[in-house]
Formats: sequence, C-alpha cells, structure tokens
Amino acid sequence: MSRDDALSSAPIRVLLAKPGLDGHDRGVKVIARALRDAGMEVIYTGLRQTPEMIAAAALQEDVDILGLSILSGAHLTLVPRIIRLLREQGQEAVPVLVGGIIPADDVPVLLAEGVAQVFGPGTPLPRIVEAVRLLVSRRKQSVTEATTPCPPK
Amino acid sequence: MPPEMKVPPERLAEEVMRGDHRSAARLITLLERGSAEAEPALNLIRPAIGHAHIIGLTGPPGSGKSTLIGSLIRFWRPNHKLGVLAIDPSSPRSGGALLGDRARLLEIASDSNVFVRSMSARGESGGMAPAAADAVDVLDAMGCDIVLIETVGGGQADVSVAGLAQTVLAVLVPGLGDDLQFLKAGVIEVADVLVVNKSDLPGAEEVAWRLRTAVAPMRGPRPPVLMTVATTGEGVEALAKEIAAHRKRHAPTTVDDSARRAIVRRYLLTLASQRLLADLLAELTEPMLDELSAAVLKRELSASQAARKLLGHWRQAQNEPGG
Repeated sequence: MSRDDALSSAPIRVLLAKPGLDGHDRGVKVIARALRDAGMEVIYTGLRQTPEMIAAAALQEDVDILGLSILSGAHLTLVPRIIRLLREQGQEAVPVLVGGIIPADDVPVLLAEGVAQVFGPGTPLPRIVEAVRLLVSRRKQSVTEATTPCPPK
Repeated sequence: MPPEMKVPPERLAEEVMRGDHRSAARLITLLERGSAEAEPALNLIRPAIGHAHIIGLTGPPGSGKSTLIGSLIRFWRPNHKLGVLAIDPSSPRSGGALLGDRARLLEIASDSNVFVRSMSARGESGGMAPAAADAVDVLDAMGCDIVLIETVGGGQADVSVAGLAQTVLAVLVPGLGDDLQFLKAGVIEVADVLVVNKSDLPGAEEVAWRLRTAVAPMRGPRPPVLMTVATTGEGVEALAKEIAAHRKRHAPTTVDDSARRAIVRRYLLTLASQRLLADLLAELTEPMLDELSAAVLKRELSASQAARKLLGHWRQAQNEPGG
C-alpha cells in the first residue's frame, strides 16, 4: 500500500461536543454511534462543555471535523465563540456542523458565522454520515491544492 | 500553521520541543497514519525524550481507570505538565471507534498543562494502539513530565502497556466476581501497583486481602495494594506518592533489569508482527482470499495449508522488483 493510499484510508476523526448548560445527550449519542458504524473515530466530550474546552479538545485531538449538539437555545452565543476560538488557534479549516433545536430563522445566521451545515430533528442518519464524509474529503482536496505559504502564527 | 499544510519535519520537531500543542497533535496524527514526514520528525525530537515518567493503567472495563486518571490529574496539575493517552477499542465490524474517555477524565477545562489525546486501538490486541509508543515520545518531547496511558481495559491480555510504561497500575474493583480470573492471567505479573478502586463499596477489603495473598509468594518486590475512591479523590494522594516512590526505586535500574527487558522485547515483537500483518494484507487480493477460503470450505485444502499458500504468494510478491 502506498503512502497516499494509507493517508486516504485513515479513519476520519470527529469531535462531538455539547456546549453550554444542556443536559440532553441522547441525540448526540445516536449520532456518535452512526458515525462510528460508518468507520469513523468519534471523540465525545461529554456534557456541559465550555467553548474553551471544546476548542482545546479539537486542537489536541487534531480532528478533521467538529459537530456541536445544542438543544438549549444558546446556539447564537455559543457557536460563534467556538468558531472564533478555532480561528484563533489556526483551525479555521475544520468544518463545524450544528445539530439540535435550531429555529429556521437562526440557520442563515449560523451559516454566516461559518457553520458548514445545520441539522434539525429527524434528519436521516445516512445524510449526516454523507455530509461528514463530503466535508472532510473536500477539505483534504483543498489541502493538496493549497500552495499559499503558512501565515505566521 | 494550518494543519493541512505540509510542514517540514525540522519545523514540526522544533515546535513540538517548544511545547506547542498544535504541532504535537499534528505529529501524533502523522505517526498514526504512518506518513513519510513523521519518522524524520520523530528522530529530530529524540534528544528531548526520556524525561517523562510513563505510567500505564490497566484493568477491566468499568473499574474507573478514566476517573482515577482524572483524580490524579487534579492532584498533579499544579506542579506538573501532564500528558494522557486514552486508548479505546475499535469496532471489528466497521473499524470505527467511540472514544469517550476524554469526557470522564477532564471534568475541568484542559489548559496548557494538560494534553489529552484519544486513540483507537485500530484492531490491535493487547490493549494498546499501534502508534501509542510514538505518541508517548511526542508527549515526552513536548515537555510533559508525567505521561499516563489508559489501556483499552480488555482485562487479561492487556499487558502490552508494560512494554512502554515505567510504572504499571492494575485497577480493580469489588463486586466484579472476576478478581481471581484477573490474577491468574498476565496482568498481575506486570503490575507495579495494585489499586482497589471504588473501595467505598462492600467487598473492597476482601479484594485487597485476596490481592495481598496472591502477591505474597511472588519473588522480588511485591506490588503494594492501595485503596481509592476515584470519584471523591480518597486515597489518591497516597497513590500518587506510591507511584513516585516506585519510580525512585526502579527507574535507574530499568535498563539492566532483565525481567523488564523481556517485557519490552515481547512488546517490540508484537508491534513488528502487526506491521508484518499490515504489509501482508496490503499484498493480498480479494479474489485470492476468496478462492483460498472456498478451497478450505470444499475441503480441498486445510486452513493451515491455505495460510501457507498465502504466505507463499506474499514472499513471491516481496521478491519481485518494484512490487
């Protein structure tokens, strides 16, 4: 097996997190299992995480993609903060997905903040699995095409 | 430095030795993937390796290894830079993994003094992950003076960690009913400290007594038996002291210790055989495997014969230039 094969067949690493004061983790656990069954390595942070804890986990675990589950209604506060922290630590390329109870009016706001996709209740699991695969492969593609030098950090 | 940029190994190594979390995380990923720039970077950080006290935790699932690591982190974090490698099993069916230890061992926010990396065993038996040894070196080079390894927790065969850790903790609990099972197997031979966790539960004293009886006839230093309640932190200070004392007693003699060397040798051979298996699997084609499996089912070949045939094909492929 060549090195490139090895790279492309490396399992996708996903961080699933529940930011803020929200004790409902049934949904995120279902997603975690679906992604695992699709061959991915899923790191679940547990409940009541601060944006700082989530950003640190994304950094240390070097994940390909981040999924946030929010049912508390605090998404407009929490999500932009997490995205800002990712940017500050140079991880702006990590796609962010949001799942949970998100009013329709808030979806464009989140997308404008840099969220890649928002999933509401009842989204079929295969659709989420496909979205994760697509976003990660797109990101990897842009890697090989990237020629710009590293910005100083 | 976006992670997707190809960073030269020299720069990556330099950043790791400066203690940069991002670069350390990146290098561990590259090592896990077996990518080409990882090996030179690992060689370059070698001078910074060898200062960390490497501690392994093994024990049956549910014995509280993650929570105990969490308590130890709380005890050590004011004065130490800590690295944790948390290994969880991978699903044999999908190859995926659910890595949930992080949730239990980091109730408090991680900061620049605590670096936690979750790893999938990626099919490896023995409770470790293929790149665990490399990752420990990265954590050591980035300046962690204590590195904790949490094994899969498969129980009896979970002994590979002894090939890597200087101090091995076996974490047991009352009420599992498999105390003696656990003792019969290899783990007791490699444990340096025996911990009875959840010792507020009934039966804890009995487990401790059984352990003391079991280690009494052992030659050489007998592992001490300690009681903890990881959720409240009870007994954790005494455990931390015991771990430090173990290092003081044994670290200087590790290289000359023939028993230790035998354990390392076994671990090394385990890793080599896994590599070999990966090479073998990369050469084999689906039709070839199907054909041989069918032949075994039709009783045209025994399974052993078929395996020898596979190896024959492999050796042939190895000898072909450019193969």
